[in-house]
Amino acid sequence: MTLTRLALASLKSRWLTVGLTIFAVAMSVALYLGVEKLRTGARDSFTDTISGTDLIVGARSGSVQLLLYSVFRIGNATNNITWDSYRDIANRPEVSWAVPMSLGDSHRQFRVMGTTEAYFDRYKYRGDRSLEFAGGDRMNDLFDAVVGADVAAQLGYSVGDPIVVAHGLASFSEHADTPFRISGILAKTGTPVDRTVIVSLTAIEAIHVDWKSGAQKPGAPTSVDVIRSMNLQPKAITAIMLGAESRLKIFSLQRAINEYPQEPLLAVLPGVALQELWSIVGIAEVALIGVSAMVVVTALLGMAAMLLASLNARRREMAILRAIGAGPMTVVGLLLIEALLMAAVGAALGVGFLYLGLIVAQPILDARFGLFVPISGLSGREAATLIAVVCAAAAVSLLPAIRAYRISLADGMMVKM
Amino acid sequence: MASENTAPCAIAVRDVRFDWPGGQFGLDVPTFDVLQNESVLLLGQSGSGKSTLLSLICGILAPSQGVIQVAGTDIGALGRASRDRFRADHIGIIFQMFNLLPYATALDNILVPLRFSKARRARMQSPRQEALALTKALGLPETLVTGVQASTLSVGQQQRVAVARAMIGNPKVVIADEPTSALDSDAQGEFLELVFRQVQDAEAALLMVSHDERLADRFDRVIRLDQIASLRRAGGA
Repeated sequence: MTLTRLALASLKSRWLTVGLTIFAVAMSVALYLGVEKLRTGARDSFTDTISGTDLIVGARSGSVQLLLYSVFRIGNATNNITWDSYRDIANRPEVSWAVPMSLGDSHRQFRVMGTTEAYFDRYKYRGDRSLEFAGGDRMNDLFDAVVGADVAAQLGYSVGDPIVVAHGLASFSEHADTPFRISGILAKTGTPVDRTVIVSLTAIEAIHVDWKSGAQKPGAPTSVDVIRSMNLQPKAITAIMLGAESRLKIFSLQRAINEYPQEPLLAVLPGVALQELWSIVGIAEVALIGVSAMVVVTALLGMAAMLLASLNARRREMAILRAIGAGPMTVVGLLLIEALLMAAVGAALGVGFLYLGLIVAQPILDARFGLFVPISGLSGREAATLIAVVCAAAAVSLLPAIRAYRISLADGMMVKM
Repeated sequence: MASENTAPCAIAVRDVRFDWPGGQFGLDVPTFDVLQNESVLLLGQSGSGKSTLLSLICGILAPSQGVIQVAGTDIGALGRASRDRFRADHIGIIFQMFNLLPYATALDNILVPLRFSKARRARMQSPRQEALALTKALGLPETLVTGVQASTLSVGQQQRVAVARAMIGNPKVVIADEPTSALDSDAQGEFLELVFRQVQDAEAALLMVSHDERLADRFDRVIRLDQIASLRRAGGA
């Protein structure tokens, strides 16, 4: 009969309180690990929003602002880039490829982005994943549009449906005279692309033929046939995605763009800007992990309270152990073993709950929020957390253990009630 | 190790003085012996210091002065941990009631002392077999011993399990603190019979504490606690 067996039998005899305590520890551990997984998942999803692009170029503003409007389609550009500057930069020898983007129009609550076909080849996310079509294909015609997965899902669009693009954002003045047709629907990516309507750069020009300073010119609208025959070379764009010829050239290219004499421009490294942005968003993450850590601490304190409360009822037990030759330290050891057993079982059960929760929640999170939480093994950090939980359990049980030591020293083998 | 066979006394108490922490009370025991193989009944009311005397003999408490020898070893000279080990090795203890860990089986209860005593374990071939032999001799059916938690046994059955636990590994000193007071008078006689048989088989000394004088005629010797010990109060003599 080892001490551990004794502890197990004792725990088993108090299965209800012990079970609840273990359950509380398990739930808190699952919560903590879940938050940890979500956090890393969110951070990875976030930093994986754009990859494979070396520089993002826009009118001079802040790097976070540029990232927000060019990648996350949040907010607006303060200024445009002239087409000439775009040509200039795109033709530099260090530049391998350049994708222009023109933002500013909307369709319902979704942003419309004018770009070239190269966007579908160059835009990468989550490592090197490319955009894929759930149905249809890229734009073939001037008035073709490709919509993201969320756009199609929320507005109930399918390939071939007509859509109308509004000028400006949240505007009532719709370009009803130039209706678009949906040529393709993109598969879900979990990036802002899901919430974007993509048209060609020339199409952006086309819908603005009859518009000036945000208002439609008086008189009959230009007919679609006339528009098709016009030169629709854009005069300005909003942002550029750049690929460099070699990684070594990125910084000199960035400096060259930032010092571009004809126009105040800003080139940012997407990874750096994303981290900068995350450092702002990440404060919530710290708060979240802090709260879940407190939940773990609370569960462990509950366990200590339970052990403490049980001591009085167990004085006879301790006296019996003393009578048959156990030292007070053995009584303390027994209590610590019980605490460690409960914490270890709780932690293991918590890991079980975590993976059960992940299996259930993963497809929902991915589909609803574009948040991909990989079901991977425990990271070193997470394993260390579990060990810390068990150690913390030992630490908080020192209080009941010390009390048990005192009681068993005072009582000896006769309980003085 | 203790030289158990050279000393004539199983228990020898000489000039022991004990002070409770705080200095309010004290106990003096000038001389008290229990010989090997002897059975002694110590008569005393509660509050007469018998718990203290038993705790001193068992090594739970250490005397402020004097010598306590148990099975030839001066336990007052041992450290606290050594006294605990000595108790595990050499003394079997039976209480009035609540002898057993309620959540363990009777068999596990009987075997627990072996966890604390290498010496007892070394004195036997197969602990489990000997525990079952003991309980059979004490009239306990095996299903009750191995199959159920000790808390489901009757008081009489629990007391017999306590005897088996005290006797496992043949200690030379057995101490019983009012072991019969929770039993009715018929059961008392039968229970004492069992205890005496076991103690004699093991050639152990038996020190039983009780307030019941009717048990006296079964013992080799009967001593009143106030004959050997005196309680002291602070400010008194």
